Formats: sequence, C-alpha cells, structure tokens
Amino acid sequence: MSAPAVQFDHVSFRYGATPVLEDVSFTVERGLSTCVIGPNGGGKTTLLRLALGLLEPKQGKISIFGEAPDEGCRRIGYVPQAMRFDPLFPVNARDIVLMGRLDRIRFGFYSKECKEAARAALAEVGLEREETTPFSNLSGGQKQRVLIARALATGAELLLLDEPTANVDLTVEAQFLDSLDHLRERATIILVTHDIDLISRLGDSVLCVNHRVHRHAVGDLHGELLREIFSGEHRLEHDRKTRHQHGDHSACKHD
Amino acid sequence: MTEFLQGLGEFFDAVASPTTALVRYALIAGLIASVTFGIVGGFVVTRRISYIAAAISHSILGGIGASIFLSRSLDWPWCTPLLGSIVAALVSALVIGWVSLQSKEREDTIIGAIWATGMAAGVLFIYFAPGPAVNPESFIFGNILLTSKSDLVITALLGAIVVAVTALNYHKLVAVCFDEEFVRLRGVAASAYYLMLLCLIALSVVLLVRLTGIILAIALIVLPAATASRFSRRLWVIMAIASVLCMLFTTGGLAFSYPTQTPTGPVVVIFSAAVYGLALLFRVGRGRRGKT
Repeated sequence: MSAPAVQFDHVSFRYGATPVLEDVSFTVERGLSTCVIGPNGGGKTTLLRLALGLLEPKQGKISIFGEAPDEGCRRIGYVPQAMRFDPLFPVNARDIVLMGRLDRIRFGFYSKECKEAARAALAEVGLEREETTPFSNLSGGQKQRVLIARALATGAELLLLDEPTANVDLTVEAQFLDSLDHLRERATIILVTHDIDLISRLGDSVLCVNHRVHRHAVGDLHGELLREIFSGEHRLEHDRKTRHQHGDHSACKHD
Repeated sequence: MTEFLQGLGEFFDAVASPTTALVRYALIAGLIASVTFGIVGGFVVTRRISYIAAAISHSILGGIGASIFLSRSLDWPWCTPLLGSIVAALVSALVIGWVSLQSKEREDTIIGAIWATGMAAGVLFIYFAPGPAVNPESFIFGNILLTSKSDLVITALLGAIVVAVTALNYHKLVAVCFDEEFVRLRGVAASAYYLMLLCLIALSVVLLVRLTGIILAIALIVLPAATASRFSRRLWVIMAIASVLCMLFTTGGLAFSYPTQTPTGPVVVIFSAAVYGLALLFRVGRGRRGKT
C-alpha cells in the first residue's frame, strides 16, 4: 500500500517557550483535497512550514509520501501568496514558471524539456498567452496562477496553497477557482484558507487548526463549529461576499 | 565653449596617442568595468540591496588601511591595498550575508556597523602606519586617471570572474533574488547562491573603488541599473542597458573632466544621476499622459 501524501504523527512545535502546535496527528491521503482553516496565530503557517521541511518539529514525526520532509518536499509544489512578491521584479511569467525546474539546470541553461514543461504548466492554468507578460503586468489572479504553474512545472504530486484568494477581488477569485477545479484531478491539494465558500467548493475534508488539529467532513461544518474555530473571523469573509452580492462593493479589495 | 571643445579634442588625441597611456588605460578600465557594474547593478537594484553594496564599499577602507599598516610594519610587500580591498570586501559581504540568513531582523544593524567600523579602522590603520604619511582621500574619492597597466589587467580579471560566474549561475541567482524559499524547497542551496551574489557585488565594488573611490562607488552600481529598470522589465535587458549606460557615463565623465581638469569620479556620478533624474521625469510624464 502506498504511503499517504502527508502524515503528522504526534507532532508538537513551539517558538521559544510559546507552544504553537501540540500533539498534532493527521493524515492526508493521496488524491484528496484538504482545506486548512483556523484563526490567525492558530498554527496554520507553522503546519505548512513543518510539512515543507522549513521547520523541524520539537516532538513527533512528519512524513511526506513516506519520506522525511526535507526529502519529500521535492514532491511538493508550494504556492505562496502572490502579494508576497516584489511587484516590480523584472521577470515574466515564463521566467517564474521555469523556476520550478531550477534543480534541472545544466551548465547554466534550461533544457528544451524544461521549457516545454513550463509552457505546458502555463497552458494548464490557462495562461499560455501570457508567457512573455511581465510579472508586474499580471493581475492578482494571474500572478497566483503563474505561481501554481511554477508548482506544476516541478512535477509536484502535492500542491500546497497558502491563502491563494486572499487580497484578490471576487471576479479574479472565480477564475482562480476554475483553474483549481481542474487541478484536483491531477494532484493532492492542501489549501490554507479563510474562505468558507472555497472550502465548500473544493475540500474533501477540513483540518481545523488552533494549536491542535481536528478533522471534519465539509458537510459537518456549521455556524456553531465555525464560530468556535474562528472566533468570528470567517464572518468577515462571509460578510464581504454578502455585501458584494447586494451591490455594496466598498468592502471588496481590488488588486 | 571653444576652449572646452578644444580640450575635448585633446582628450581624444590623448586616448589615441601612444605617449599618454594613462588616459587610454583609464578609458579601457572604465569600459571593461562597466560590464561588471551593469550586471551586478541589475541584481543590486532588483533585490533592493544597495545599502549592502554601500556598506561593503565603505568597509574597503579598513582593508586598504590594514594592508598599508601590515606591509610597512611587517615588511610584507605582497600585502597590497588591492589585496586588502578584496579581503575586506569579501569578509564584509559574507558577514552581512550570514547575519541576513541567520536573523533577518538585524541585517540593517550589521550593515551600519560594518559601514562605520570599516571607515574607522581604515583611518586608524593609515594613521598608525609607519613611514611616509598616506592621504586616505585618494582612496575615498579615487582617481581613474591613475590606472596603471597592472590595474587594467586586474580590472579585466575581476570583471571576467564576475561575468563568468554570473553567466553560469544566472537563473539560480535570479530565482534566489525573487523567491529564496522556493529555491531552497527545490533542493538548491539558496543560501550559498545568496552569498555568491554578495561576493560578486563585493568584487565589483573593489573595481569601483579603484575608479570612483569609496564614497562614490555605490552610485555607479545603482544609478545606471536604476535608470535601465525604468525602461525594461527583463533583468538581463536591464543589465545590458545598464552596462551600456555605464560605458557612456565613464567615457563622458572622462571626456568632460580631462579638458576642464575636474575630478573624474564626481563628474561620472553627476552624469549618472542627471540621466537617472531625466529617466524618472520621462516615466512620470509618460504616466501622466497615459492617465489623461
């Protein structure tokens, strides 16, 4: 039987004396989409960084496709938030996607195969026409899709997305979700989000992270449980969308 | 005006004349080094680390001072100011890089510390060096017209190292500048590449200090690349434009300063700054027209 995509086994982590995750155990099976939700400071980012091998657990064991995170991370396509990057950095979409093949550069050059893989990855997220568009000229949603294409170009079996729809407007979010729907057939997806609508559309299950981790089926999520998890944070996202649907766009963020 | 044009003619005569090698050496050194400055400047501007380059350039006075002190005190003729510059620049680059990688929040502190300590140590070493007094001003402001044949060889050698290392590692250096964390996740030694980039900057700054001096060195790395970045959104294009601009600035600076007998380094920097200012205005103007 093949190893699960991600396995946390009694993992604990603390920054100095401050505990962030305590005795966390869960499994993400291959081919499933899992959403990670929880309040700010609850440990979502730490969970991601542990899975990526960027942090080491103080206790417990993590495996990615049966390997230690520093080995298994090569099979992960990490997609950070696009807004994290310098918007004026002088690269185009193809340059960024090619970074997914960085470990395959020989004598300073990308091979023909690398370039084809980058082109295919851009096509997969619907951006084949934006290949030579500068990063600074792409919309927020396009930037996010370029970062997904970069993850796909690595040949990743697991996509790990960190709040991909944060700070994008609702139109862009809809385009982004269409791309993601398509990717579910190709890879295991773990998606950190505050967006309840995104969870109901994409998640096979939900990991609720607030220092400890509890798994729920998407259908089990209800108002009382969400209030417990988020202490009201999810309502901000819900209210934003409700106002938008009713014609009040003042709360919407545009990029 | 006539006098100036006449002087300009004398400059070009001097470049062509076999008897006035210094002017020719200065021009060739400036042209060769311009390629280095354009390439490294592209990284410095896009990665936004011009303060690191400035700290490295100021730390070089410490290396120069130490080399003068040691060569005279211990009779080490091989311990030249150039060697001192290279060692000080590389050590500063590695220390700043190490601190930046280990604890990012203290990077600005270490930059400030290296900046000031390098200058202070240099002045003290020069003060205590036995033998005839050394005027640190020549290192602080530089003089491209004092370029010798051996300087030319060293400039070409250091330039070739910077160009070759950058060409072989271009994509990885760009990726490290854009997203260091992702590079690490691909199993590529991101920290090593960041330190490599800082060492390339250090070697370029050593070249610059010989041409324009410590104080003005940063200008020739930053200004041509910053000007070029107003006109292109591809890093390699920015580097190419910056190299050409740098060649024009150094040639223009030499051509202007020779007949007017003004210090070359400051003239080159003023030219660079003026063109950068024009580039800013040009883009602002274009932006306003675009909005209307």
